[in-house]
Amino acid sequence: MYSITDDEIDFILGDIEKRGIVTEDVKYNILDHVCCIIEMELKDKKNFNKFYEDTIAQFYHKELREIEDETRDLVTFKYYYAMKRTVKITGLVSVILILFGSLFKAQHWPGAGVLLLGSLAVFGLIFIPLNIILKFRDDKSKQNRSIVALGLSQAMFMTIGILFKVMHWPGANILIISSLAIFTFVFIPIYFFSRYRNPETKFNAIIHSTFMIAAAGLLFSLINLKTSHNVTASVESMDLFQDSNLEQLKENNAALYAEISHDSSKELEKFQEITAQLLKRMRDIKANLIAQSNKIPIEKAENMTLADVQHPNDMRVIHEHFEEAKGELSYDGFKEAVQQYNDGISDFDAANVIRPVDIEELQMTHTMLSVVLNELVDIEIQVLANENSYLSLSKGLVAKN
Amino acid sequence: MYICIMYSSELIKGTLKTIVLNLLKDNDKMYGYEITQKVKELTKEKIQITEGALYPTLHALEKHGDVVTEKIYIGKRVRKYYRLTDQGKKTVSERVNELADFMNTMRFLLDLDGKTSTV
Repeated sequence: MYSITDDEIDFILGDIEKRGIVTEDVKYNILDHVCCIIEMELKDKKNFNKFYEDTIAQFYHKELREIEDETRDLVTFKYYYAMKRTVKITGLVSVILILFGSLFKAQHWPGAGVLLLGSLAVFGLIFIPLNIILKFRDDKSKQNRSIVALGLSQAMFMTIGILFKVMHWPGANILIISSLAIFTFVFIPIYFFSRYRNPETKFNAIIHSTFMIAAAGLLFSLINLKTSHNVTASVESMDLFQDSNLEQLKENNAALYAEISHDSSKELEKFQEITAQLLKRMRDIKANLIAQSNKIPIEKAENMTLADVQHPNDMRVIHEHFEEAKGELSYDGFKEAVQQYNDGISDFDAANVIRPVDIEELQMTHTMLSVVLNELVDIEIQVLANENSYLSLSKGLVAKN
Repeated sequence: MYICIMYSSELIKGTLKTIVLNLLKDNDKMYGYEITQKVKELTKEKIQITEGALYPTLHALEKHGDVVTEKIYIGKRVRKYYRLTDQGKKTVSERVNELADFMNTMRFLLDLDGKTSTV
């Protein structure tokens, strides 16, 4: 039996390290194994170097590092198969939930939100990240790994953005637009140029990039879908029309007051006060909602109308600052004010010409800012029309007398 | 790729853990070189486990808790002995039973008994 020297052990250990083995355990296992073979099988000391080279060569196919890589893979990815199974299951679950969720959403059936929330969360937070990890495990090319990981993380952000959009959560557009921008201006160019250089993947690079740019463009146009200029113009014209009607009514009423004011009775003053109170409350609510939606101080929003609103479809502001809010400017506060008005006018002997405001006829909750603003204008017109009728009636009575 | 000269690597790769665990069941503790020599000897050199396959498998078994290790210092060298844990003993019987069952199934599937009876 050959007796191996300390120098030879140092030499072998140095060589193993040089060949890229860094894990202590793997290193000493190989060292002991090589030493055992040499001790058992080497006959002549002169042949040490040649014998060592031949022995170590039996340990690998291309390089010694394979042992370390394989060890790391086996140890690190002991959950590899469990992960693959999870990918399959979450993929199937999210596909089914997305299909049902979108069907429910399209049909306005209850449960659509829960289905979509579940599906997009499973898809974006489990399925895609697991795919990124598995890609790192399976693909040996570093470039491929990075490109696919970048693409998949964009898909993940996009999915989360769409989830925010569907659930009407704030920040959805920022998420979607920024991930679309990174996808289009970073990922697609990297993908294209890395694959275009290789003659084998050149054709596919062109086709895939074209598809991706087209898809990104179409998605972007959908995300940014707003009402057309014609619709915006018509809404603004309606707003102006209503405003001019309001002004006209106010002017008429002011003229009527002026005409019969010399006979001004306490009754007339009381009616004017009741009317003014409700009108002021409505102006305050309007200013508050516009200020909250446009994120400006309430004083600046005082004379604003629907045309000045930046997000007419804002549902959050109605929910947070009207429906769920407390105090004078809330929906409950408004209902009380209307009730006070109705009670107030019922004291006047003019039931045939004035009509109480029936707020129950209007749906002022679970809706958009533009609708509520319009409803407020309609109520304002009714209140002014009541005032006008009452004043006309009073004027007639004055004339008769 | 790693295991042997006589049989194709695909055939034997899946059985390496079973071979190693079973050897450890019959011997109290063993080190890497000893395992390869023992397999060579027992199979009359028909199966030769290579180092490239053996050590990753041993590390994985250690990580899974099927074996524990004991380090013995021999001069500048460190020898790692592997020993079965209680969990490892359970794994051996499961693996051996599974393989035996698989071999029976294959025997039936490939009609090996039928062939031998006609010869």
